[in-house]
Amino acid sequence: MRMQSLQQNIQTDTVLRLEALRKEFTIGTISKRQVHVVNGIDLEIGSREIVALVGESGSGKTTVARLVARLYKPTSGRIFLHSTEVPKWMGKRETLHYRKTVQMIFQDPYASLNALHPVRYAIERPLKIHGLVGRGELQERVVSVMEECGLRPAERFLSRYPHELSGGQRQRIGIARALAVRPELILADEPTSMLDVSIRLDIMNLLMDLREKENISYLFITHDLAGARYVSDRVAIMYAGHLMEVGPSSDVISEPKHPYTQLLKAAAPKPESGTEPERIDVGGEVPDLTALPSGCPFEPRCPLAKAECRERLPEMRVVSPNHSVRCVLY
Amino acid sequence: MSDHKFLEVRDLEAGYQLGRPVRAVRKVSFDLAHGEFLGIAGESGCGKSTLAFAITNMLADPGKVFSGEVLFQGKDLVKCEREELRQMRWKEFSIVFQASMNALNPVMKIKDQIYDAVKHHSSEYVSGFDQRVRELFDYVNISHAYLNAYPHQLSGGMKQRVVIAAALALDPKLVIMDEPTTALDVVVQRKILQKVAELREKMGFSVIFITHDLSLLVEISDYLAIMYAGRIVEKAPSKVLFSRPLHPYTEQLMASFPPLVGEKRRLHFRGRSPVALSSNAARSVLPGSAM
Repeated sequence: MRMQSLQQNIQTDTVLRLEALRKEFTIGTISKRQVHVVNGIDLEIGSREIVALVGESGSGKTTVARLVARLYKPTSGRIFLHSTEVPKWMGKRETLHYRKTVQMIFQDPYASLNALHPVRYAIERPLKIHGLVGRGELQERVVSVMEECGLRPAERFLSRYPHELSGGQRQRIGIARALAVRPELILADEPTSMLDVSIRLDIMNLLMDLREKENISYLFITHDLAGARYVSDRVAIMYAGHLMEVGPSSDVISEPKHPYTQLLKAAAPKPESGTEPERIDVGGEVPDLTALPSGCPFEPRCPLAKAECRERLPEMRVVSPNHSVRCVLY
Repeated sequence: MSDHKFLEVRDLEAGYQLGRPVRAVRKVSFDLAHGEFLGIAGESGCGKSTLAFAITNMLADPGKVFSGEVLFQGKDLVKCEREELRQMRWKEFSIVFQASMNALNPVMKIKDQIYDAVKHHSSEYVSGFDQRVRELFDYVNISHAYLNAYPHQLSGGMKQRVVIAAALALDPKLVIMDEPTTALDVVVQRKILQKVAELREKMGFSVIFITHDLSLLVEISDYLAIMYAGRIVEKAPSKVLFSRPLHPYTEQLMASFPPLVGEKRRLHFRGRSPVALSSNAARSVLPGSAM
């Protein structure tokens, strides 16, 4: 499947395609309810492309990553890796191959490392599981990938335990672990949210550098719009399990079309603007995912809502090349 | 009007007595006037939370104030007796802790927890509490229906607003907030900050707002102080600090925010984080000197 990349104007292969992806969870013991977390996601990621999935808590963005990582099974919908459908059930060999191609980086750099082992363990394990190096080369490979991730000299870190490293250093170990198997797609679930501000930039720069060097695509999940703009080629805005706007990051963020994107932009700190902070007058809380309305989920909080917004969920419509919006206004 | 400033912190040294002393706060001095909003920004390990606790004299063993003064309306909080402090806390000044929404007692109703705080520090509002708590809920825009709710029934943003409301219960003149919006979404965060600004306008209290997210502070504070390895390295009115940072660390910190508007280009942050330098031997080494 070929996709025109606006950014580079070269033909790229689609690495990942999500089609009408849905996930519902059942909660409750006696009376059960369905929580509609992911409600029909269509998204593509091209080769060497960084797509940011932006949304607040409860938007379903982490669940999307977990579905692609096969930590959850979709309720319905399909996932395609390089035009081949990823089957719902996979045998051991296929799963191993999948995991070599699609890797994940987690939000909490402490919780995602085994505290009882030195950090070298985290990187050695995937190499061993996938049989990627002979015994003699293991240390060499581990050192090489750690240094690629900015941990230099690697020897100094090999025998350290996670609690002996800073948050940024731990996250680099997490990235090294994902990188060790030379994946094609990395799912980065809010990799900088728990890091200090000055470290975030380093980590985002590292991911971008690795994209160039190793030809990796990313699904970069975040609630930080400015970070999304910095790091990604395209951005997908998510709300209550739906995609509301998808397009090139610079376009979507400089001129957001969807009212929700506009709200996110207004709410974000903009110290560089040098003016008085924008006031946002939006009330209401995020919708109850066990009782989603049949119309647009953003309608209760939308300053531009019309009657028809409550009746029917609008379609995703293309407003300019590569840029689509789900809103009756378009 | 007394000739004492509202809050004067003078050469405060505080930290933790662990065998040898760990100096988390080193010779910190600053002033705060009535109604002023001071933002203190710094990264992990810079000592800002220790500073918040030191100012309110709430450092528990092994934490302690080593030297210095905290003159609150002329009175040195460092030298106050326990009972005196208890009388002052919550009434004269209050504190919203980091992740305080997680500190709410999960098996107590919200209303009862606020009552607890009020009753412990003052006899004011003990009768007529019902009316006061409704008033507080109105301040922070939470429906009265949640008075009898338990913390797990509220969202993160709502819990944080409850904690802020509790901090305002006795009309304090100073509110210290330590990372009050971390872990909250950007829209919720913006609403809470708006609310704090509104309430400040209405009630006239001063704020010391501590965070690692400098971008938030620039818009809402009158003054900004940047903390690094226990010291305040730069202090100025916020707009000035942002447009003309003098200290290399401030410069770098300001430059490490990817802009939402304007040119899209690669940014770099040089220098080492304060955590790596938190030792007595390293205390005079700042990234500025290495650059």
